[in-house]
Amino acid sequence: MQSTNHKRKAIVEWIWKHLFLIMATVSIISVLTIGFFVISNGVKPFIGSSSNETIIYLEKFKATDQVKLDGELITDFKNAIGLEDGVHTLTYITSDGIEEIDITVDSKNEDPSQTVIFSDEPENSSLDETVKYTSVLTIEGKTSVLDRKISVVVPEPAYSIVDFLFGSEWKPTSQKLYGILPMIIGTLGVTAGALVLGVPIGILTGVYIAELAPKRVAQVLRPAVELLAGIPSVVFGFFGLTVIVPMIQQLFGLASGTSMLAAIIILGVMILPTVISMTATSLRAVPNYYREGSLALGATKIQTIFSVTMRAARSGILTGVVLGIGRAVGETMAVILVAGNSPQVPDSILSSVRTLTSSIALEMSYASGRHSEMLYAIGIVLFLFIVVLNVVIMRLNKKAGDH
Amino acid sequence: MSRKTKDMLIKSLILLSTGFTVGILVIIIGYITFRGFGALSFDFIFGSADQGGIWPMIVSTMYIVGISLAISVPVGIMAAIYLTEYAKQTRFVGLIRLATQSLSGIPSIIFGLFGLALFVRAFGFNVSILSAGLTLAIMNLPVIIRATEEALKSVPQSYREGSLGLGATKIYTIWKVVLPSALPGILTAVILAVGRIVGESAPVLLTAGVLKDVPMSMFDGGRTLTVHLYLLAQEAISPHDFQIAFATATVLIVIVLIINLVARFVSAKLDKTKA
Repeated sequence: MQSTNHKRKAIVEWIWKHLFLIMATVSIISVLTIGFFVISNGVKPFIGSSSNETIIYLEKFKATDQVKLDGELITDFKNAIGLEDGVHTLTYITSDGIEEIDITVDSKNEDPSQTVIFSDEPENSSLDETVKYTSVLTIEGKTSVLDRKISVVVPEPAYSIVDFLFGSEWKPTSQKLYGILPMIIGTLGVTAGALVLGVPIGILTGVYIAELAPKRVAQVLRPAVELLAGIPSVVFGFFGLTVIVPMIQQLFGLASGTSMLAAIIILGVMILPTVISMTATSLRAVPNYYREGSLALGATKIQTIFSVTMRAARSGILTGVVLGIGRAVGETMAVILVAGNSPQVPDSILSSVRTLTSSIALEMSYASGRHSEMLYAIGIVLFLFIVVLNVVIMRLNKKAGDH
Repeated sequence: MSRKTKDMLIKSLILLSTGFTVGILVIIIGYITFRGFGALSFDFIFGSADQGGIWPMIVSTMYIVGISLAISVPVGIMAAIYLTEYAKQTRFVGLIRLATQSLSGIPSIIFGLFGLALFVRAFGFNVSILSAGLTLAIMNLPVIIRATEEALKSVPQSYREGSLGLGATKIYTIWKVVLPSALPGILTAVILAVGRIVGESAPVLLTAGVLKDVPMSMFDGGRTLTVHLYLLAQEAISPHDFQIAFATATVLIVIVLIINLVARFVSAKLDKTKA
């Protein structure tokens, strides 16, 4: 009896232990898949062309129309025909009998203008090549609803990483240009501005809470800072849009107040709680005999704080600043609402600016194909940035440990 | 400059900064609630979106909070129990800690991209509250693991030894002794996680969409309060639109206030039990 009971207990123990282990493993796996999915989507544009084949889309194709590929009649397709590498000729014969269009696709041709050739454009048709890698031939019907459209989409070649990181033009739909330099500069500029505004105020407030404030006051201030940290970023953005933006507009007499400055002010306020709480926490961790020693040597309270206590708490305060950088870089919705979002390198603090995160949130809903993959690539850039920040934080903590 | 004036100058700068911090908090909350409070009404809270109400958004938000907590809380707590109570301090465990630690600094929009690629597209859940709930669950997992670990570590070793010494099994000790003592800490973390989920917008926009109806199933899209406020702010033209936006922002602020109060209440209990 005793032994079966013992056995049962052991089994229960074993089951629970392994359940815990499974949950820990699940957590790690879910963490790793994030990196995998973001990276696997984001590297695609740089390692190969956007598609293996040229695709021809036929809009308003009638059952009585005929399509011949390299002379052979094809019947089994649904509005789209994929052409593999090589030279192909597609002949499109409308059932009205008058129009026969030859489309020659030579995917291996070095000259991009020779890749797709429409021969014998019929009279009532128009060719549109404003979108790069896509040619659309419209054959007018009786009304515009009945227009037949033939779109030839040539695969985009692999994009160079240099053009991606240092290209200054972001025209993802019409020109297929994916230069994110304006957004990188925008993110760095806005973050730097937010630091200039938020770090001194944050550190000084942290000093007040940890070193100077009477106990009662500190007990009110700490939850206030937590509350500031808890306010949703959209609410910050909305406040910026309804208060800060009009203020900037009036102050500087601008057509629109959505600007880099507005984003800087909002982000500066948003990083305050991080900087304040890290400063206060690390100051409080400094042993009291540091302060006592300094005061006994005749230093004033303020001198003690700035030359002894803060020096001892340096790495913690710096960690707070680095975390603040992370928050500013990663912030999305608040920035979208106040920054104006035009993808150009800002020429002044009052001009419109777009950040890396804004691009993802603004365009993901309609992006497809390579455009969407490029947004994932922006995600990788952000990811790497945060990894670097984490390494910096680890270095700082290690230094504190050595100290 | 004499030492005294220098000290005075720095001191007034410190006070000025603190004043700015408190001032901006009071101004943000005061301004938004002042302009939004008037529009709060029964019809606004419980009305459909077409009538200018926010009931569908409240429901969507609650569903997403529910789904993500239902996953992240049990998984996170169990993972933390494994890490603190069972795992030996190997390099592997260190690696796990490092991973969870670095994950908490990653911008939320990246979680949105991930959720879009995995749940919405690869798993075929489409843009739905399920996708958003799962995405936010993974986003909150590291936070809950870390907070639970801290709470478990703060339970004195003597509790465990006492229980084991009385002949209790390890799992019995964990359930009956360690977890109850760590509960306030874990609860605080969960409550703060609720606040984060309610306040999150970028990943929700990508994974749950902008549909204005009450979701009928987990696979329906839904608009959360934050996304609603974002869209209202972007599209608002008439004063009436702004009125609704201010009222929605007020609701969000009230929720955050309540969550903060409850979290403080729970952690105050924690301090009491410790003392």
